[in-house]
Amino acid sequence: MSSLQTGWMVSIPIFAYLVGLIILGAVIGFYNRKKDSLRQKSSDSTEEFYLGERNINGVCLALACVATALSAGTVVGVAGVAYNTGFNWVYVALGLQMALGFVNIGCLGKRWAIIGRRIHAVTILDFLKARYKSDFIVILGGISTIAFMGTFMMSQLQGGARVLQSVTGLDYKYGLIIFCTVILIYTIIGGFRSVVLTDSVQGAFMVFGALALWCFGLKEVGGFSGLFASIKEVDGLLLTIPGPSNHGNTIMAISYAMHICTCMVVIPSLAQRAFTYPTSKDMHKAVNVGAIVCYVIGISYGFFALVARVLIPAIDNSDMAIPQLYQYLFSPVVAGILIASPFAAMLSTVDSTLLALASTISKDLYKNYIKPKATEKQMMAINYGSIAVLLIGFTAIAWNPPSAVQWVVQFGLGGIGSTFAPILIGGLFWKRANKTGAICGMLAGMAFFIVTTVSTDWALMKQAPAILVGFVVFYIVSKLTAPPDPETIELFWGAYPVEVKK
Amino acid sequence: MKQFKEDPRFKVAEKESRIIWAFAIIGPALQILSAELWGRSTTGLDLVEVAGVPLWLILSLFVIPFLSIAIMALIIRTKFDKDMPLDGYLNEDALEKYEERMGGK
Repeated sequence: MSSLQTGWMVSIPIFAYLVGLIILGAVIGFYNRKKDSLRQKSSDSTEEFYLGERNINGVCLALACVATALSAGTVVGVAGVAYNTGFNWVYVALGLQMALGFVNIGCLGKRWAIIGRRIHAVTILDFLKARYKSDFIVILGGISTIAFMGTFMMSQLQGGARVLQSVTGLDYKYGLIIFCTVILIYTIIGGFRSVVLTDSVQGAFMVFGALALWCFGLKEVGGFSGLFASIKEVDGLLLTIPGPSNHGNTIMAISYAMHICTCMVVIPSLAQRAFTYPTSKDMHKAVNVGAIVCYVIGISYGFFALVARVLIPAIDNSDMAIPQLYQYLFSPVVAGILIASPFAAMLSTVDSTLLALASTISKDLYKNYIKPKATEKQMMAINYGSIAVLLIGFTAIAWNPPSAVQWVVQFGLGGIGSTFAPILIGGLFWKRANKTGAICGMLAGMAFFIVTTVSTDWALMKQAPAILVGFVVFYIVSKLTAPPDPETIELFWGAYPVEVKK
Repeated sequence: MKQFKEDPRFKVAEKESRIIWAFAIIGPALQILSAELWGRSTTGLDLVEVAGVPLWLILSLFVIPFLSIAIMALIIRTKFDKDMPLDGYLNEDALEKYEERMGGK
C-alpha cells in the first residue's frame, strides 16, 4: 500500500479497542467486588484500589510498567523529533533509555517493597512522610506531584488526541473528549488492578505493534542497507552525531542517561508499582522481562520514524510519523489495529498517572491534613472525585496545547525527578539522611530545574544538573544537622517492629 | 527491650539494587563511548560500516544494550536471592532461618 488512508476503516478497530478496554475494566472491577463480598473481607480497600493488595505477578507487572513508562514521549514525541533530526536522537532518547524498563523496580529493589509493607505505604509521599516526619515535605511534594505529573499527563492526553485526529480525521477536541472518557470509565470502575491488567494487555499490544514494524517496515525500504543508503541520500548528517540539530551532543547524551537513572526511578506511578510484587521471584521476573520488552518497543518506534522519513518524506506533523507509517504499510483495518499500540502507550500512562495523582490527593493531602478520621467510604469517594476532577481539569488545559509533545513530557518528568530523586533515593539507602537536608535538597533541586528551564537554553536535560544540585545540598545539609531519631532508624533498618522495643 | 538489630534482608537487597544500578549506568556509558568514538561526523570514523550499517549504531543501539541486559538477567538469575521474604517484619524463627541461609551461601 503506497498512499495514506484515513477514515472509518482505520477508525473502527481503534474504537473497538477503546470499547474493549472499558469492558475489560468493568469485568475486572465487577470480579474484584464480587470476590471481596464473597470473602466478606474488611481489608483496606484503598490499598486494594491503589496497589491491588500487593499481589501483582512479575510478567503482568513488567508489561504494565513498560506500558506506563513508554508514553506519548516515546511513541509520538521522540519518534517525531527523530523523523526530523535523524539517528542521533534515536540513540540519545531511546538507545540510552535501555534501563527504563528495569530501573524503577530494580533500583528501588526489595528494600522498597519491604519498607512499603512495613509502613503500609501506598504512595511515595507515604514513604517520605514516615522517613522524614515532615508536613512541609508532604505538602510541597503533593503540590509538585500534581503540578508536574499533571503536566506530564496533559502531554499524554494531547498525544492521544493528536493520534486520533491524525488517523480518523476527527477534530482534535473530540479526540480529547473520547480519550478522556474512556480512561475515566475504566479507571474508576476497576481501580489499580484493572489499570494493571489493562496496562498489561496494552503492553502486549505494544509488543505486537513493534514486531509488525520489524516484519514489514524494514522489507519496504530494502533492509538495513537499503534504509541507510536512502537516508544517506536525504542527508548524511542524519546518520551521525551530533546530527543536524545538535540533539546528539555529548552533554545531552550524558544528561539523558542520568535522567533515566534518577528521574525514572522516582516517577510516582512507577514507584507505586514497585510496592506491588508479591515475591522476590516476581520482582526478578519483572526486571528481566521489563528490561527487554521496554527496550525493544522503545527502539522500534525511534528506528521506524526514520523508515517513515524514507517512505513518507513530507509529513506535515512529524509527531504522526509512526501512525502514518502504519497506515502506509498496512491495509486500513490492520493499520487501525496496529495504531492501537501507540495509543495503548498513552492510555496506559495516563491511567497510571491518574491513580498516582488521585492517591496523592486522597491519601497524602486529604487524609493527612483535612480529615484524618475519614472513613474508608469517604476515602473512596475522594478517590473517585479526584480522578474525575483531575482528568477533566487537565483535559481542559490540553484544549489549547503547546506544539511539541516531547518538551512537555520532559518538563513534567524533569520536575518530578528534580524534586524527589535526591530525597527519595537518599532516604531509602542512607541512614544519615534527615528532614532538614531533605527539605533543602528538595527545594534546591526543584528551584534549579524551574529556573534553568525557564531562563536558559542549555542543550541538555536540565533535570540532570538539577538532581546533582539537589543531591549535593541534601548531603551537605544532612551532614551538618542532627541525625534522624532512633525510631526512624529502627523503622527503616531494624529487624524488629518499633512497638516491640517500646 | 530489644537491642537494635539490622534486618539482614536489607544488606542483601541493597547489594542487589547497587548491581542493577551499575547496569543502568555502565550500559549507557558504553553506548555513549562507542557513539563518541565512531559516530561523530567530524572524525571520519563515522564512515565505518558493517553491511551498510554504521558501526556506532550497531554498537550503541543493538550490541551494548542487549548484551548488558543479557548479562544482568544472568546475574539476577544466578546471584540474587530469589527466596527473600518480603513481609514487613520477620518473626524470630524466620529471621534466624534467613540469617542461616544467607550465612551458608
